[in-house]
Amino acid sequence: MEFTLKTFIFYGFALMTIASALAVVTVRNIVHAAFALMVTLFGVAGLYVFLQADFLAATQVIVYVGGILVLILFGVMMTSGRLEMRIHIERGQLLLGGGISLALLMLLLTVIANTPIWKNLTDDGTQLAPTTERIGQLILNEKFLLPFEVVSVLLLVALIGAALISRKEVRD
Amino acid sequence: MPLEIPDINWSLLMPQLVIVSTLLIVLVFDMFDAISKKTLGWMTIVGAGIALWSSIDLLQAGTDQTQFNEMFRIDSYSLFFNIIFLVSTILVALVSISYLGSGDKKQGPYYLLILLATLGMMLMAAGNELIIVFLGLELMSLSLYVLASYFRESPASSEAGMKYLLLGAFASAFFLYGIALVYGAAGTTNIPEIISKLSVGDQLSLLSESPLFLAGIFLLIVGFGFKVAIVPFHQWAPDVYEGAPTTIAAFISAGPKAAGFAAFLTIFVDALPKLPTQATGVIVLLAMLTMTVGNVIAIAQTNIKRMLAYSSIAHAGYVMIGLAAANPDGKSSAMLYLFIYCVMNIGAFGVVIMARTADGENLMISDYAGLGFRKPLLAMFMTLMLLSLAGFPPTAGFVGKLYVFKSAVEARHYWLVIFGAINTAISAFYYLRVVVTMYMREPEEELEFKPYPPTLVIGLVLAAIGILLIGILPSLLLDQAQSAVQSALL
Repeated sequence: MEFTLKTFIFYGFALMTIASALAVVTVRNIVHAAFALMVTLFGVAGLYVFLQADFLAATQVIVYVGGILVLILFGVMMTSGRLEMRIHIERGQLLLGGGISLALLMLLLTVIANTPIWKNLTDDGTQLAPTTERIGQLILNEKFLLPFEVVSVLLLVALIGAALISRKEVRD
Repeated sequence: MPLEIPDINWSLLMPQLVIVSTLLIVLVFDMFDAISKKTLGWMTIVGAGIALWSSIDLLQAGTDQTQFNEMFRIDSYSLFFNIIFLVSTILVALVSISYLGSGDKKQGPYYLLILLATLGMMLMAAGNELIIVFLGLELMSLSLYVLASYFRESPASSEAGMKYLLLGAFASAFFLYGIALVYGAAGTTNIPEIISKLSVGDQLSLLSESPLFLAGIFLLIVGFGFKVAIVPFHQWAPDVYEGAPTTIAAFISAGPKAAGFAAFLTIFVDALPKLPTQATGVIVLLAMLTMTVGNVIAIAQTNIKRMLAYSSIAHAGYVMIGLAAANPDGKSSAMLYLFIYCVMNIGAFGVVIMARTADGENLMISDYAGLGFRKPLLAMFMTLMLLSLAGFPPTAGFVGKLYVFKSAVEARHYWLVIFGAINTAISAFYYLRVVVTMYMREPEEELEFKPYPPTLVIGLVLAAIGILLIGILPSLLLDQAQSAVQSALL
C-alpha cells in the first residue's frame, strides 16, 4: 500500500477516534468521559471528510461537538450538582458488557473480512466536491421531501415532550 | 437549478392529512383553559373517525399507488393497517375521556401525543422505504415515552417512561444500524428493490448470502423485536404496562405492536423465502420462545396489568407464527390477528379501568373476587374479553388463532402449530382463573366502585360488538386482509 500524507492523516484520525472512544467507556470521571467523547465525535467528522461527505462533517462538528456535548455537560452539572461524580462499574456488568461488545466486534470483523466489495476499494483520485447543494436539492425535491416533513413533526413531539416532562407541577 | 414543485396527489394522503390537521387543532385548543380535556378527547375521536372513513373509502376504491418517489404506499395493505390504528385510537380516546381525572392529570397534551403516535404508526405501515419506517417508528416511540410517564406525581409512571425511553433508544439504535448495513450491502433503502435484488430470475443472488446484508437483517430483527416485545427483548413490557397510566398501557399494547408488525411483515414475509433457511429458523425459534415465556410467566402474576402485559407478549408470539409461515395466508392471517388482538386487548384494559374505586385502581386479581354477581356488566365484559384472548369460539380470538395456525400448517411448520396449541391451553388457565375468581370466590372486603363513566361503557360495548361480530362473521375482515395481500402479489 502506498503511504502518502493522506493515509497518514487518515490513520491519525482513526487512531484518535478509537483511542478516545475507549477512554469514554473506561475513565472514571464523568466529565473526563464527556470531553473524550468530544474528541471521538470530532474524529468521526474527520472520517466523514475522507468519505467526501463535507456537509455531513460540518454538521457533525456543529451539532454533535458544538451542541450535544454542551448539553451532556449541562446535564452532568445539573443532575449531580458537582463535577467530580465518579462512575462505578460492577464486575458483572463489565464482564457482560465486554462480552457482548467483543461478540459484536467479532461479528463485524467477520462481515468486513467476507464482504468482497471492500477488499478492492481503491482511491480513484476523485476530488472533494461540495455536496451541500445536492443534499438541499434532494431534500426539497420530491426524492426526500417526505422524510424532511416527517422530521419536522418529530421535532414537534420532542419539543412538546420535553416541555411536558420538565414543566413544574400544576395544581388546582 | 430551479426547484421543481413535486407532483403530489393529495387526495390519496387524506387519512394522514386529517390526522395532522386534527393534531394541530388540538395543539392550538389545548392552550385555552376554557376548553376542557373532554372536548379535546371528542375532537380526537372525530378526527380519527374522519380519517377512518377516508381510509375505508380509499380501501373500497381499490387504491394501489405510491407517492413521494415510491417512498409512501397507499395500497390495501397500508389502508387495512390504518383501520387497525384508527380503531385503536378511537377506542383508547373513548376510554380515556373519563379516566383523566382531576388535578395535574388534567394538564398536558395527552390527546395530541396520542394523535402524533397514531401518525407515526400510519407512516410505518405505509413506508415503502426503510427511512420512512424508521421515522414513523421514532415519531411513535417518542410520543409513547412521554405518554408512559404522563402521571408525573406517580413514581411508577416516571420509572415506566424512563425505562421505556432507555430501552427504546437502544432498540432504535440497533434498528438504524441494521438499516445502515442493509443499505451498504444492497445499495438502496427501498424495500421492494431490496427484495427484488435478493434473487436473479429463479436463482438467489449473491446478496442473499452476503454477510453484510445478513448482519443488517439480524439487527433489524433485534430492533423490531424490542418494539413489538418478543422474547428475549420483552423485559421492558411488564414494567411499562404496570407503571404507565392504564389507558396508555392499553394504547401501547395495541396500535404500536400492530405498527411494528406492519413494517416487520412488509420486509420479512417477502424476504424470508429468499434468505438462508437459518433466518426462518430464527423467526420460528423466536415465535416459540415468545409464546411459551409469555404464557408461563403470566400464570405467576397477581397484578392484572402485569398479567395482561405477559399475555400481550404471548400474543406477539402467535402473530410471529404468521410471519414465520411467510406465505400470503400467513400475512393475511397475521393482519387479521393484529386487528382482533388490538380490539380485545384495549377491551380488557378498559375493564380494568372500569373497576375503579375512590382510592384508585384495583389491580390485584384477588380484587375481582365476587364481582360476577355484584357487578354483572363489568364481569360480563371482562369474561368476554378474556375468553376472546384465550381463543374460545364464538369470539374473534378463536378465528384469529385458527387462521394463523392454518397458515403455518400450509407452510409445513408443524412444530410451530403444536407449540401454539399447547400455549393456547396454558393461556386458557390464567385467563379462566380471573373468570373463576369473579364468579366463584367471595370477596375479602367490600369495595365501593365508582359509577361507570358513559364513554367507557360505549367504548367497551363497541369492542364487545366487534369481537362477537368478527367471531361469527370472520369473512368481513378476512376478505379485506386476503385481497390486500393478493393485490400486492399481482
